[in-house]
Amino acid sequence: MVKMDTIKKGRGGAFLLFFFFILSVVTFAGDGFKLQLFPYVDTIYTNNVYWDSTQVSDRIISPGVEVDYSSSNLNFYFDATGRFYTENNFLNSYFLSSGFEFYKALGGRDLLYITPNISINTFNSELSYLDNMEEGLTIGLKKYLTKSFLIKTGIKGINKDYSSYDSYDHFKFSSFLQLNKFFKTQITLRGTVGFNYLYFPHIIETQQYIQVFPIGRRGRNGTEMITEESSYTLSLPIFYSTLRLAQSVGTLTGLVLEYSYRKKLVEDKVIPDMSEDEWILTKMNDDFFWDGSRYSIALKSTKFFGLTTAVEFSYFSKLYEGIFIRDLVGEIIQPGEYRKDTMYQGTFSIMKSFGRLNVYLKGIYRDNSSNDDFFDYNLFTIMGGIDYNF
Amino acid sequence: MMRRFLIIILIFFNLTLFAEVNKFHFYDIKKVRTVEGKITDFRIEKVYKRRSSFFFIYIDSKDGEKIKIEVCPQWYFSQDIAKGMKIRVKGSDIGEEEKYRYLIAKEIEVRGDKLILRDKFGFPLWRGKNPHKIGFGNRKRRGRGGKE
Repeated sequence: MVKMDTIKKGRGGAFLLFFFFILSVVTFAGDGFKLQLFPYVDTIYTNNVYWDSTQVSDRIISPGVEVDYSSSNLNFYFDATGRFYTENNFLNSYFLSSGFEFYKALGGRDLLYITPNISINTFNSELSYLDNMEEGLTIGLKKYLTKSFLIKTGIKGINKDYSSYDSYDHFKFSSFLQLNKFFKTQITLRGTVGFNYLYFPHIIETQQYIQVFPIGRRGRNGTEMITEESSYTLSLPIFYSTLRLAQSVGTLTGLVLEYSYRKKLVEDKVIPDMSEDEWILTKMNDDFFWDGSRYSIALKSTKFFGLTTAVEFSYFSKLYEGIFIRDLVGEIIQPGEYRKDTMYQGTFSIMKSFGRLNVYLKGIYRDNSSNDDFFDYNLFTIMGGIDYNF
Repeated sequence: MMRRFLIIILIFFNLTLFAEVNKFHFYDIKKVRTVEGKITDFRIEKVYKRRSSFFFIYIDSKDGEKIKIEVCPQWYFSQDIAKGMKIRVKGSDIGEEEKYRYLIAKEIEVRGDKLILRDKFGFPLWRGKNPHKIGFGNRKRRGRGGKE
Protein backbone atom coordinates (compact mmCIF):
# COMPACT_ATOMS: atom_id res chain seq x y z
CA MET A 1 0.00 0.00 0.00
CA VAL A 2 2.84 2.39 0.79
CA LYS A 3 4.52 3.87 -2.23
CA MET A 4 8.22 4.26 -2.63
CA ASP A 5 9.93 7.47 -1.54
CA THR A 6 11.20 8.02 -5.05
CA ILE A 7 7.66 8.60 -6.21
CA LYS A 8 7.13 11.20 -3.50
CA LYS A 9 10.33 12.98 -4.54
CA GLY A 10 9.15 12.92 -8.13
CA ARG A 11 6.02 14.82 -7.16
CA GLY A 12 7.96 17.56 -5.41
CA GLY A 13 10.15 17.80 -8.50
CA ALA A 14 7.13 18.20 -10.74
CA PHE A 15 5.88 21.07 -8.60
CA LEU A 16 9.30 22.76 -8.68
CA LEU A 17 9.51 22.27 -12.44
CA PHE A 18 6.12 23.86 -12.94
CA PHE A 19 6.94 26.67 -10.51
CA PHE A 20 10.20 27.49 -12.28
CA PHE A 21 8.39 27.37 -15.62
CA ILE A 22 5.99 29.98 -14.28
CA LEU A 23 8.93 31.97 -12.91
CA SER A 24 10.71 31.89 -16.28
CA VAL A 25 7.62 33.02 -18.16
CA VAL A 26 7.08 35.78 -15.61
CA THR A 27 10.68 36.94 -15.94
CA PHE A 28 10.37 37.34 -19.69
CA ALA A 29 6.78 38.51 -19.66
CA GLY A 30 7.73 42.10 -20.45
CA ASP A 31 5.81 45.35 -20.20
CA GLY A 32 2.31 45.74 -18.95
CA PHE A 33 2.71 43.31 -16.08
CA LYS A 34 2.20 44.28 -12.47
CA LEU A 35 3.58 42.49 -9.40
CA GLN A 36 1.36 42.36 -6.33
CA LEU A 37 1.79 40.92 -2.88
CA PHE A 38 -1.11 39.91 -0.62
CA PRO A 39 -0.30 38.80 2.92
CA TYR A 40 -3.34 37.55 4.82
CA VAL A 41 -4.37 35.83 8.00
CA ASP A 42 -7.60 34.02 8.86
CA THR A 43 -8.69 32.88 12.30
CA ILE A 44 -11.38 30.30 12.91
CA TYR A 45 -13.14 28.93 15.95
CA THR A 46 -15.31 25.86 15.52
CA ASN A 47 -17.09 23.60 17.96
CA ASN A 48 -16.83 20.71 15.49
CA VAL A 49 -13.63 20.18 13.52
CA TYR A 50 -14.67 16.84 12.04
CA TRP A 51 -18.34 17.55 11.28
CA ASP A 52 -19.50 14.56 13.29
CA SER A 53 -20.90 13.61 16.68
CA THR A 54 -17.48 13.65 18.39
CA GLN A 55 -17.92 17.45 18.55
CA VAL A 56 -14.19 18.24 18.79
CA SER A 57 -13.67 21.98 19.06
CA ASP A 58 -10.60 23.98 18.09
CA ARG A 59 -9.18 27.34 17.16
CA ILE A 60 -7.33 27.56 13.87
CA ILE A 61 -5.05 30.24 12.53
CA SER A 62 -4.21 30.34 8.86
CA PRO A 63 -1.61 32.86 7.66
CA GLY A 64 -0.47 33.03 4.08
CA VAL A 65 0.81 35.09 1.24
CA GLU A 66 -0.14 35.31 -2.40
CA VAL A 67 2.00 36.79 -5.13
CA ASP A 68 0.31 37.82 -8.38
CA TYR A 69 1.97 38.95 -11.56
CA SER A 70 -0.69 40.09 -13.94
CA SER A 71 -1.43 41.92 -17.13
CA SER A 72 -4.79 42.70 -18.70
CA ASN A 73 -5.35 39.13 -19.84
CA LEU A 74 -2.87 36.97 -17.97
CA ASN A 75 -2.30 36.37 -14.28
CA PHE A 76 0.47 34.27 -12.78
CA TYR A 77 0.10 33.40 -9.13
CA PHE A 78 1.83 31.69 -6.27
CA ASP A 79 0.13 31.07 -2.96
CA ALA A 80 1.53 29.67 0.28
CA THR A 81 -0.67 28.97 3.31
CA GLY A 82 -0.30 27.29 6.67
CA ARG A 83 -3.16 25.97 8.76
CA PHE A 84 -2.40 25.65 12.48
CA TYR A 85 -4.70 24.04 15.04
CA THR A 86 -4.39 25.11 18.67
CA GLU A 87 -5.56 21.86 20.30
CA ASN A 88 -5.32 19.26 17.53
CA ASN A 89 -1.98 20.27 16.11
CA PHE A 90 -1.49 16.88 14.44
CA LEU A 91 -3.93 18.28 11.84
CA ASN A 92 -1.61 21.15 10.92
CA SER A 93 -1.06 21.43 7.20
CA TYR A 94 0.73 23.53 4.60
CA PHE A 95 -0.43 24.39 1.13
CA LEU A 96 1.52 25.60 -1.90
CA SER A 97 -0.21 26.47 -5.14
CA SER A 98 0.94 27.94 -8.42
CA GLY A 99 -0.50 28.46 -11.86
CA PHE A 100 -1.67 31.00 -14.33
CA GLU A 101 -4.98 32.28 -15.57
CA PHE A 102 -5.39 33.26 -19.18
CA TYR A 103 -8.31 35.34 -20.38
CA LYS A 104 -9.17 35.94 -24.01
CA ALA A 105 -11.83 38.41 -25.09
CA LEU A 106 -14.02 36.95 -27.82
CA GLY A 107 -15.78 39.82 -29.47
CA GLY A 108 -17.14 42.71 -27.43
CA ARG A 109 -18.53 40.94 -24.36
CA ASP A 110 -17.53 37.29 -24.44
CA LEU A 111 -14.66 35.72 -22.60
CA LEU A 112 -12.64 32.52 -22.70
CA TYR A 113 -10.86 31.47 -19.53
CA ILE A 114 -8.11 28.84 -19.24
CA THR A 115 -6.12 28.03 -16.14
CA PRO A 116 -3.74 25.19 -15.37
CA ASN A 117 -2.55 24.87 -11.80
CA ILE A 118 -0.54 22.65 -9.55
CA SER A 119 -0.53 22.43 -5.76
CA ILE A 120 0.99 20.52 -2.90
CA ASN A 121 -0.68 19.86 0.44
CA THR A 122 1.49 18.52 3.24
CA PHE A 123 0.58 17.48 6.77
CA ASN A 124 2.45 17.10 10.02
CA SER A 125 4.34 13.89 10.60
CA GLU A 126 1.41 11.91 12.06
CA LEU A 127 -0.67 12.48 8.95
CA SER A 128 2.18 12.78 6.48
CA TYR A 129 0.92 9.72 4.60
CA LEU A 130 -1.90 11.99 3.41
CA ASP A 131 0.48 14.43 1.71
CA ASN A 132 -0.84 14.97 -1.76
CA MET A 133 -0.25 16.75 -4.99
CA GLU A 134 -2.92 18.09 -7.29
CA GLU A 135 -2.81 19.05 -10.96
CA GLY A 136 -5.79 20.82 -12.45
CA LEU A 137 -7.04 22.42 -15.63
CA THR A 138 -10.08 24.65 -15.98
CA ILE A 139 -11.60 25.97 -19.20
CA GLY A 140 -14.60 28.25 -19.18
CA LEU A 141 -16.58 30.29 -21.67
CA LYS A 142 -18.90 33.20 -21.04
CA LYS A 143 -21.06 34.29 -23.96
CA TYR A 144 -23.78 36.92 -24.20
CA LEU A 145 -26.40 35.91 -26.78
CA THR A 146 -28.10 39.27 -26.19
CA LYS A 147 -27.41 42.01 -23.66
CA SER A 148 -29.81 40.29 -21.25
CA PHE A 149 -29.19 36.63 -22.03
CA LEU A 150 -25.94 35.06 -20.91
CA ILE A 151 -24.63 31.53 -21.40
CA LYS A 152 -21.76 30.10 -19.40
CA THR A 153 -20.14 26.74 -19.79
CA GLY A 154 -17.02 25.09 -18.50
CA ILE A 155 -15.05 21.96 -17.76
CA LYS A 156 -12.58 21.25 -15.01
CA GLY A 157 -10.33 18.27 -14.39
CA ILE A 158 -8.35 17.59 -11.22
CA ASN A 159 -5.96 14.74 -10.57
CA LYS A 160 -5.08 14.23 -6.91
CA ASP A 161 -2.25 11.94 -6.00
CA TYR A 162 -1.60 10.91 -2.39
CA SER A 163 2.03 10.23 -1.66
CA SER A 164 1.58 7.15 0.52
CA TYR A 165 -2.07 6.24 0.49
CA ASP A 166 -3.03 4.93 -2.90
CA SER A 167 -6.66 4.32 -2.02
CA TYR A 168 -7.31 8.05 -1.82
CA ASP A 169 -5.82 8.85 -5.24
CA HIS A 170 -8.61 10.19 -7.38
CA PHE A 171 -9.58 12.06 -10.51
CA LYS A 172 -12.38 14.57 -10.53
CA PHE A 173 -14.14 15.97 -13.57
CA SER A 174 -16.77 18.69 -13.55
CA SER A 175 -18.76 20.28 -16.33
CA PHE A 176 -21.73 22.60 -16.48
CA LEU A 177 -23.96 24.63 -18.75
CA GLN A 178 -25.70 27.69 -17.37
CA LEU A 179 -28.33 30.01 -18.84
CA ASN A 180 -28.99 33.44 -17.33
CA LYS A 181 -31.92 35.58 -18.40
CA PHE A 182 -32.45 39.08 -17.00
CA PHE A 183 -35.94 40.61 -17.02
CA LYS A 184 -36.95 44.28 -16.81
CA THR A 185 -38.55 43.60 -13.42
CA GLN A 186 -34.96 43.28 -12.11
CA ILE A 187 -35.31 39.49 -11.85
CA THR A 188 -32.58 37.21 -13.11
CA LEU A 189 -33.54 33.62 -13.79
CA ARG A 190 -30.65 31.16 -13.89
CA GLY A 191 -30.76 27.50 -14.83
CA THR A 192 -27.74 25.25 -14.50
CA VAL A 193 -27.19 21.63 -15.42
CA GLY A 194 -23.98 19.88 -14.62
CA PHE A 195 -22.23 16.54 -14.72
CA ASN A 196 -19.54 15.65 -12.21
CA TYR A 197 -17.45 12.54 -12.07
CA LEU A 198 -15.26 11.19 -9.29
CA TYR A 199 -13.01 8.24 -10.02
CA PHE A 200 -10.83 6.26 -7.64
CA PRO A 201 -8.44 4.14 -9.73
CA HIS A 202 -7.17 1.79 -7.06
CA ILE A 203 -8.93 1.39 -3.75
CA ILE A 204 -7.02 -1.19 -1.81
CA GLU A 205 -8.90 -3.58 0.40
CA THR A 206 -7.12 -5.66 2.99
CA GLN A 207 -8.59 -8.98 4.10
CA GLN A 208 -7.32 -11.07 6.96
CA TYR A 209 -8.27 -14.63 7.69
CA ILE A 210 -6.99 -17.58 9.66
CA GLN A 211 -5.73 -20.54 7.72
CA VAL A 212 -5.57 -23.93 9.42
CA PHE A 213 -2.68 -26.19 8.39
CA PRO A 214 -2.71 -29.95 8.78
CA ILE A 215 -0.23 -31.10 11.37
CA GLY A 216 3.18 -31.61 9.89
CA ARG A 217 2.60 -29.78 6.60
CA ARG A 218 5.66 -27.80 5.43
CA GLY A 219 6.98 -28.03 8.90
CA ARG A 220 4.22 -25.88 10.43
CA ASN A 221 1.52 -26.79 12.82
CA GLY A 222 -1.76 -25.18 13.73
CA THR A 223 -3.04 -21.89 12.32
CA GLU A 224 -1.65 -18.82 10.59
CA MET A 225 -3.05 -15.33 10.04
CA ILE A 226 -3.13 -14.58 6.30
CA THR A 227 -3.35 -11.00 4.97
CA GLU A 228 -4.40 -10.41 1.38
CA GLU A 229 -4.71 -7.18 -0.52
CA SER A 230 -6.97 -6.62 -3.50
CA SER A 231 -7.51 -3.51 -5.56
CA TYR A 232 -10.62 -2.24 -7.31
CA THR A 233 -11.92 0.95 -8.89
CA LEU A 234 -14.84 3.17 -7.99
CA SER A 235 -16.66 5.57 -10.33
CA LEU A 236 -19.17 8.08 -9.06
CA PRO A 237 -20.88 10.01 -11.86
CA ILE A 238 -23.41 12.51 -10.63
CA PHE A 239 -25.86 14.82 -12.36
CA TYR A 240 -27.14 18.04 -10.85
CA SER A 241 -29.46 20.84 -11.81
CA THR A 242 -30.04 24.19 -10.15
CA LEU A 243 -32.71 26.81 -10.60
CA ARG A 244 -31.98 30.27 -9.22
CA LEU A 245 -34.11 33.35 -9.00
CA ALA A 246 -32.43 36.63 -8.07
CA GLN A 247 -34.41 39.80 -7.45
CA SER A 248 -32.94 43.27 -6.98
CA VAL A 249 -34.51 45.24 -4.16
CA GLY A 250 -33.44 48.75 -5.09
CA THR A 251 -29.86 49.06 -6.28
CA LEU A 252 -28.03 47.88 -3.19
CA THR A 253 -29.89 44.76 -2.07
CA GLY A 254 -30.42 41.39 -3.69
CA LEU A 255 -32.66 38.48 -2.77
CA VAL A 256 -31.79 35.02 -4.07
CA LEU A 257 -33.89 31.85 -4.06
CA GLU A 258 -32.30 28.62 -5.21
CA TYR A 259 -33.27 24.99 -5.62
CA SER A 260 -30.78 22.29 -6.48
CA TYR A 261 -31.23 18.58 -7.16
CA ARG A 262 -28.46 15.98 -7.33
CA LYS A 263 -28.66 12.40 -8.53
CA LYS A 264 -25.91 9.77 -8.66
CA LEU A 265 -25.96 7.94 -11.95
CA VAL A 266 -25.07 4.58 -10.44
CA GLU A 267 -27.67 2.41 -8.87
CA ASP A 268 -27.18 0.80 -5.52
CA LYS A 269 -23.39 0.77 -5.69
CA VAL A 270 -21.83 0.10 -2.31
CA ILE A 271 -19.36 2.81 -1.37
CA PRO A 272 -16.32 1.26 0.27
CA ASP A 273 -15.45 2.13 3.81
CA MET A 274 -12.50 4.45 3.84
CA SER A 275 -13.44 5.60 7.28
CA GLU A 276 -10.03 5.75 8.91
CA ASP A 277 -9.44 9.31 7.77
CA GLU A 278 -12.77 9.69 6.09
CA TRP A 279 -13.17 13.34 6.95
CA ILE A 280 -10.16 14.31 4.89
CA LEU A 281 -11.69 12.83 1.78
CA THR A 282 -15.41 12.72 2.03
CA LYS A 283 -15.95 16.17 3.53
CA MET A 284 -14.25 17.67 0.53
CA ASN A 285 -16.09 15.45 -1.92
CA ASP A 286 -19.32 15.10 0.04
CA ASP A 287 -21.40 16.33 -2.90
CA PHE A 288 -20.46 13.20 -4.87
CA PHE A 289 -21.90 10.86 -2.29
CA TRP A 290 -25.51 11.94 -1.86
CA ASP A 291 -28.69 12.21 -3.86
CA GLY A 292 -31.28 14.76 -2.94
CA SER A 293 -32.27 18.39 -2.78
CA ARG A 294 -31.10 21.72 -1.45
CA TYR A 295 -33.29 24.79 -0.93
CA SER A 296 -31.65 28.15 -0.20
CA ILE A 297 -32.70 31.69 0.42
CA ALA A 298 -30.17 34.52 0.68
CA LEU A 299 -30.23 38.25 1.18
CA LYS A 300 -27.23 40.42 0.26
CA SER A 301 -26.85 44.13 0.80
CA THR A 302 -24.34 46.95 0.64
CA LYS A 303 -26.78 49.40 2.15
CA PHE A 304 -25.46 49.76 5.70
CA PHE A 305 -22.32 51.70 6.68
CA GLY A 306 -20.42 50.65 3.57
CA LEU A 307 -20.50 47.03 4.71
CA THR A 308 -21.16 44.12 2.39
CA THR A 309 -23.51 41.89 4.36
CA ALA A 310 -25.15 38.58 3.52
CA VAL A 311 -27.36 36.09 5.30
CA GLU A 312 -28.29 32.71 3.90
CA PHE A 313 -30.44 29.84 5.05
CA SER A 314 -30.31 26.40 3.44
CA TYR A 315 -32.14 23.13 3.87
CA PHE A 316 -30.67 19.86 2.59
CA SER A 317 -32.31 16.48 2.22
CA LYS A 318 -29.62 13.87 1.48
CA LEU A 319 -29.67 10.16 0.81
CA TYR A 320 -26.22 8.53 0.80
CA GLU A 321 -27.11 5.58 -1.39
CA GLY A 322 -24.48 2.87 -1.05
CA ILE A 323 -23.28 4.01 2.38
CA PHE A 324 -24.74 1.89 5.19
CA ILE A 325 -25.39 3.26 8.65
CA ARG A 326 -23.04 1.96 11.32
CA ASP A 327 -22.94 1.75 15.07
CA LEU A 328 -20.47 3.88 17.01
CA VAL A 329 -17.91 1.06 16.86
CA GLY A 330 -18.06 1.12 13.06
CA GLU A 331 -20.02 -2.07 12.36
CA ILE A 332 -22.85 -1.99 9.81
CA ILE A 333 -26.20 -2.09 11.55
CA GLN A 334 -28.16 -5.01 10.10
CA PRO A 335 -30.19 -5.51 7.97
CA GLY A 336 -28.42 -2.59 6.28
CA GLU A 337 -29.98 0.82 5.79
CA TYR A 338 -28.54 3.69 3.78
CA ARG A 339 -27.47 6.83 5.57
CA LYS A 340 -30.02 9.62 5.35
CA ASP A 341 -29.37 13.18 6.56
CA THR A 342 -31.48 16.28 6.96
CA MET A 343 -29.47 19.44 7.37
CA TYR A 344 -30.34 23.04 8.20
CA GLN A 345 -27.65 25.64 7.78
CA GLY A 346 -27.57 29.37 8.39
CA THR A 347 -24.68 31.67 7.53
CA PHE A 348 -23.95 35.33 7.85
CA SER A 349 -21.03 37.35 6.54
CA ILE A 350 -19.87 40.92 6.89
CA MET A 351 -17.09 42.43 4.79
CA LYS A 352 -15.52 45.83 4.80
CA SER A 353 -12.78 47.28 2.65
CA PHE A 354 -10.61 50.10 3.90
CA GLY A 355 -8.87 50.88 0.64
CA ARG A 356 -6.16 48.25 0.39
CA LEU A 357 -7.11 46.59 3.67
CA ASN A 358 -9.96 44.06 3.65
CA VAL A 359 -11.62 42.61 6.73
CA TYR A 360 -14.30 39.94 6.95
CA LEU A 361 -16.30 38.08 9.56
CA LYS A 362 -18.37 35.01 8.83
CA GLY A 363 -20.49 32.73 10.99
CA ILE A 364 -22.07 29.35 10.29
CA TYR A 365 -24.59 27.33 12.27
CA ARG A 366 -25.51 23.87 11.09
CA ASP A 367 -27.80 21.22 12.47
CA ASN A 368 -27.38 17.83 10.82
CA SER A 369 -29.78 15.04 11.72
CA SER A 370 -28.84 11.58 10.51
CA ASN A 371 -30.03 8.02 10.94
CA ASP A 372 -26.32 7.27 11.46
CA ASP A 373 -25.63 8.48 15.01
CA PHE A 374 -22.03 9.28 14.13
CA PHE A 375 -23.21 12.01 11.76
CA ASP A 376 -25.87 13.42 14.05
CA TYR A 377 -24.22 16.70 14.96
CA ASN A 378 -24.37 20.43 15.15
CA LEU A 379 -21.71 22.89 14.14
CA PHE A 380 -20.98 26.44 15.03
CA THR A 381 -18.09 28.20 13.34
CA ILE A 382 -16.99 31.76 13.40
CA MET A 383 -14.16 33.01 11.25
CA GLY A 384 -12.51 36.32 10.67
CA GLY A 385 -9.80 37.42 8.33
CA ILE A 386 -7.75 40.31 7.18
CA ASP A 387 -5.68 40.85 4.05
CA TYR A 388 -3.70 43.68 2.55
CA ASN A 389 -3.00 44.53 -1.05
CA PHE A 390 0.53 45.91 -1.43
CA MET B 1 18.45 69.40 -45.87
CA MET B 2 18.32 65.76 -44.83
CA ARG B 3 18.84 66.73 -41.19
CA ARG B 4 15.98 69.22 -41.34
CA PHE B 5 13.78 66.58 -42.92
CA LEU B 6 14.62 64.10 -40.16
CA ILE B 7 13.88 66.67 -37.47
CA ILE B 8 10.49 67.35 -39.01
CA ILE B 9 9.80 63.62 -39.19
CA LEU B 10 10.79 63.21 -35.53
CA ILE B 11 8.66 66.14 -34.41
CA PHE B 12 5.72 64.72 -36.34
CA PHE B 13 6.31 61.27 -34.86
CA ASN B 14 6.40 62.67 -31.33
CA LEU B 15 3.27 64.69 -31.92
CA THR B 16 1.59 61.53 -33.11
CA LEU B 17 2.66 59.72 -29.94
CA PHE B 18 1.45 62.60 -27.81
CA ALA B 19 -1.85 62.63 -29.61
CA GLU B 20 -2.26 58.92 -28.85
CA VAL B 21 -2.12 59.52 -25.13
CA ASN B 22 -5.69 59.76 -24.01
CA LYS B 23 -5.87 62.81 -21.77
CA PHE B 24 -8.88 61.37 -19.92
CA HIS B 25 -7.05 58.39 -18.58
CA PHE B 26 -5.92 59.41 -15.17
CA TYR B 27 -7.85 59.20 -11.93
CA ASP B 28 -8.47 62.60 -10.35
CA ILE B 29 -9.25 62.25 -6.63
CA LYS B 30 -10.76 65.75 -6.56
CA LYS B 31 -13.49 64.71 -8.97
CA VAL B 32 -14.89 61.64 -7.26
CA ARG B 33 -18.67 61.31 -7.39
CA THR B 34 -21.33 58.62 -7.00
CA VAL B 35 -23.92 57.90 -9.68
CA GLU B 36 -26.88 55.54 -9.86
CA GLY B 37 -28.68 54.40 -12.94
CA LYS B 38 -29.55 51.59 -15.30
CA ILE B 39 -27.14 49.75 -17.56
CA THR B 40 -27.68 50.42 -21.25
CA ASP B 41 -24.63 48.61 -22.63
CA PHE B 42 -21.38 46.93 -21.62
CA ARG B 43 -18.40 45.71 -23.58
CA ILE B 44 -14.68 45.18 -23.70
CA GLU B 45 -12.70 48.00 -25.28
CA LYS B 46 -9.05 48.71 -25.89
CA VAL B 47 -7.62 51.54 -23.84
CA TYR B 48 -4.27 53.03 -22.89
CA LYS B 49 -2.88 53.25 -26.39
CA ARG B 50 -4.67 50.01 -27.22
CA ARG B 51 -2.36 48.06 -24.92
CA SER B 52 -5.04 46.93 -22.48
CA SER B 53 -8.53 45.49 -22.82
CA PHE B 54 -10.84 47.03 -20.26
CA PHE B 55 -14.42 46.34 -19.38
CA PHE B 56 -16.77 49.32 -19.90
CA ILE B 57 -20.30 49.86 -18.69
CA TYR B 58 -22.64 52.46 -20.16
CA ILE B 59 -25.48 53.75 -17.98
CA ASP B 60 -28.34 56.21 -18.04
CA SER B 61 -28.20 57.88 -14.63
CA LYS B 62 -31.20 58.84 -12.51
CA ASP B 63 -30.40 62.46 -13.40
CA GLY B 64 -30.64 61.72 -17.08
CA GLU B 65 -26.90 61.75 -17.79
CA LYS B 66 -25.36 59.27 -20.19
CA ILE B 67 -22.23 57.93 -18.53
CA LYS B 68 -19.41 55.74 -19.81
CA ILE B 69 -17.64 53.87 -17.02
CA GLU B 70 -14.13 52.50 -17.30
CA VAL B 71 -14.26 49.52 -14.95
CA CYS B 72 -11.22 47.24 -14.90
CA PRO B 73 -9.42 44.61 -16.98
CA GLN B 74 -11.88 42.23 -18.60
CA TRP B 75 -11.00 39.30 -16.35
CA TYR B 76 -11.57 41.00 -13.03
CA PHE B 77 -15.22 41.88 -13.39
CA SER B 78 -17.00 39.08 -11.56
CA GLN B 79 -20.63 40.12 -11.76
CA ASP B 80 -22.98 38.85 -14.44
CA ILE B 81 -24.62 42.06 -15.56
CA ALA B 82 -27.31 42.76 -18.12
CA LYS B 83 -28.97 45.63 -19.91
CA GLY B 84 -31.56 47.29 -17.66
CA MET B 85 -29.92 46.26 -14.37
CA LYS B 86 -29.69 48.88 -11.63
CA ILE B 87 -26.17 49.88 -10.64
CA ARG B 88 -24.35 52.33 -8.37
CA VAL B 89 -20.86 53.52 -9.22
CA LYS B 90 -18.37 55.63 -7.30
CA GLY B 91 -15.56 56.99 -9.40
CA SER B 92 -13.64 59.90 -10.78
CA ASP B 93 -15.53 62.02 -13.29
CA ILE B 94 -12.85 63.14 -15.67
CA GLY B 95 -14.80 64.92 -18.32
CA GLU B 96 -16.77 64.33 -21.43
CA GLU B 97 -16.01 61.97 -24.29
CA GLU B 98 -18.24 62.30 -27.30
CA LYS B 99 -21.78 62.31 -25.86
CA TYR B 100 -20.90 60.58 -22.56
CA ARG B 101 -19.58 61.69 -19.18
CA TYR B 102 -16.49 59.54 -18.57
CA LEU B 103 -16.01 57.95 -15.15
CA ILE B 104 -13.12 55.83 -13.93
CA ALA B 105 -14.76 53.49 -11.43
CA LYS B 106 -13.52 53.03 -7.86
CA GLU B 107 -16.44 50.97 -6.52
CA ILE B 108 -19.36 49.25 -8.20
CA GLU B 109 -22.47 47.98 -6.43
CA VAL B 110 -24.96 45.68 -8.12
CA ARG B 111 -27.74 43.74 -6.40
CA GLY B 112 -26.09 43.58 -2.99
CA ASP B 113 -22.57 42.88 -4.24
CA LYS B 114 -19.77 45.41 -4.04
CA LEU B 115 -16.64 45.33 -6.15
CA ILE B 116 -13.74 47.50 -4.97
CA LEU B 117 -11.60 48.41 -7.95
CA ARG B 118 -9.24 51.15 -6.80
CA ASP B 119 -7.89 52.61 -3.59
CA LYS B 120 -8.65 56.19 -2.52
CA PHE B 121 -5.82 57.50 -4.68
CA GLY B 122 -7.12 55.65 -7.71
CA PHE B 123 -4.48 52.93 -7.81
CA PRO B 124 -5.89 49.67 -9.19
CA LEU B 125 -6.65 46.82 -6.79
CA TRP B 126 -7.48 44.11 -9.28
CA ARG B 127 -5.86 40.86 -8.48
CA GLY B 128 -6.07 37.19 -9.28
CA LYS B 129 -7.87 36.17 -6.15
CA ASN B 130 -11.36 37.57 -6.55
CA PRO B 131 -12.38 37.31 -10.15
CA HIS B 132 -15.04 35.12 -11.63
CA LYS B 133 -14.06 31.65 -12.65
CA ILE B 134 -16.98 31.29 -14.94
CA GLY B 135 -19.01 29.09 -12.67
CA PHE B 136 -16.39 27.10 -10.81
CA GLY B 137 -16.05 29.45 -7.86
CA ASN B 138 -12.85 31.01 -6.64
CA ARG B 139 -9.47 29.48 -7.22
CA LYS B 140 -9.03 28.95 -3.54
CA ARG B 141 -11.33 29.73 -0.69
CA ARG B 142 -9.15 31.22 1.95
CA GLY B 143 -10.16 30.70 5.54
CA ARG B 144 -12.60 27.96 4.79
CA GLY B 145 -10.78 25.07 3.23
CA GLY B 146 -12.19 21.64 3.80
CA LYS B 147 -12.68 22.13 7.52
CA GLU B 148 -14.60 24.73 9.41
